[in-house]
Amino acid sequence: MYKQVKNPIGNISGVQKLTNNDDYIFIPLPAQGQAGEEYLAWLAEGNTPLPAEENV
Amino acid sequence: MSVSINGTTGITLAGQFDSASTFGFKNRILNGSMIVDQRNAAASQTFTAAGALAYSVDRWYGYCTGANVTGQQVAGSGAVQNRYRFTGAASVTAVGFGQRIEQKNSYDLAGSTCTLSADLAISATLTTVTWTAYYATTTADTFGSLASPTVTSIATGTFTVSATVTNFTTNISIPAAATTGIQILFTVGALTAGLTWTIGNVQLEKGSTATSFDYRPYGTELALCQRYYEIIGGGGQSIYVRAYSAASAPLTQYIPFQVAKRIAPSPLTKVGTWAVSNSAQPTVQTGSTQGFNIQGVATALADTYYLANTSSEYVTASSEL
Repeated sequence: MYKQVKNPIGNISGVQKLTNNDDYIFIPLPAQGQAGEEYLAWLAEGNTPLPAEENV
Repeated sequence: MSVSINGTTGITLAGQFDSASTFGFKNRILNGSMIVDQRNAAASQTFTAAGALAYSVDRWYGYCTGANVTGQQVAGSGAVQNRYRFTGAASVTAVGFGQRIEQKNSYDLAGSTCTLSADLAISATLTTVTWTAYYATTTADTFGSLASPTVTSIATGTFTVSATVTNFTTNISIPAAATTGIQILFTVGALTAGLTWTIGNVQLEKGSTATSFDYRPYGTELALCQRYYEIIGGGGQSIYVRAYSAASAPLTQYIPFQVAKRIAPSPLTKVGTWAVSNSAQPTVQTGSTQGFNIQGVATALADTYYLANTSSEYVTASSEL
């Protein structure tokens, strides 16, 4: 599962994929590279990332 | 080879120049000497059978089919400090080891003859290492996955190897269309239990003559590799962000890379459980070719920090092809 991430000024900057424990994978958007291609394939399967948490 | 000496224009060589002292930066392969190993620091790595290609020593990826294999940077011999070695296992059917050279570092090779050289050995039984050169078919620097490659074969051939490490060379005619990046791949068959496959001093150079290996300073080779992969943090308080923060206030820090990346890293991976106070584990928020933002959020009005303070706490940035 992926979750959208906002940058410090509130725009969607990427998606985060939880791996295990406290490890995170962050994929900047637009998606590129191997991890980006995996994310795009996941989207193509009809999946939707969780929305980003609001910045405080 | 003809040599012309002219009082006005100087010395002209019709072909290549080769000498023991050599010229630098002729090798289009990065880390051909296998000396840079940011990911594993010479520890063994397991390659999962039929899995995605996995990067190992810097710039090099490996894969296998049939059963898992392991690989690691090993000591070389003589004047060669390091090589890379796979160790086989029962039921293994194939092992591959390759490097993708980005367009910016191979564009000028299109339409020319190149020479591929490599030190190779297999401990027993197997005697064939197959080499294949490809270029990205349509989109620059896009080679696809193992399952769905987007490459066009340039040429292939075999080296007949033995248990003794030997340097092999072959010429490759790079087609004019190969302006999108080049991939060099070595493969072997059933590297079964007890067999090892050793690779080292891989060089791809312009011209039809194999010249001496292009030894570059370690710091230079590391920096060249860090265009594609870098570890940030890893102890010594190398990432330490601290402030007295209001409840729910973000504590954000921009961290530049040592070397600008080929593309915005994908992924950036935060590894380990960092030391934190008054904050959950920080998360990476943005990433570009130049650096990234990382952020923690204060849970209450208090002194707040997050800290990568051990060798197992860091961020990795991968811009591999």
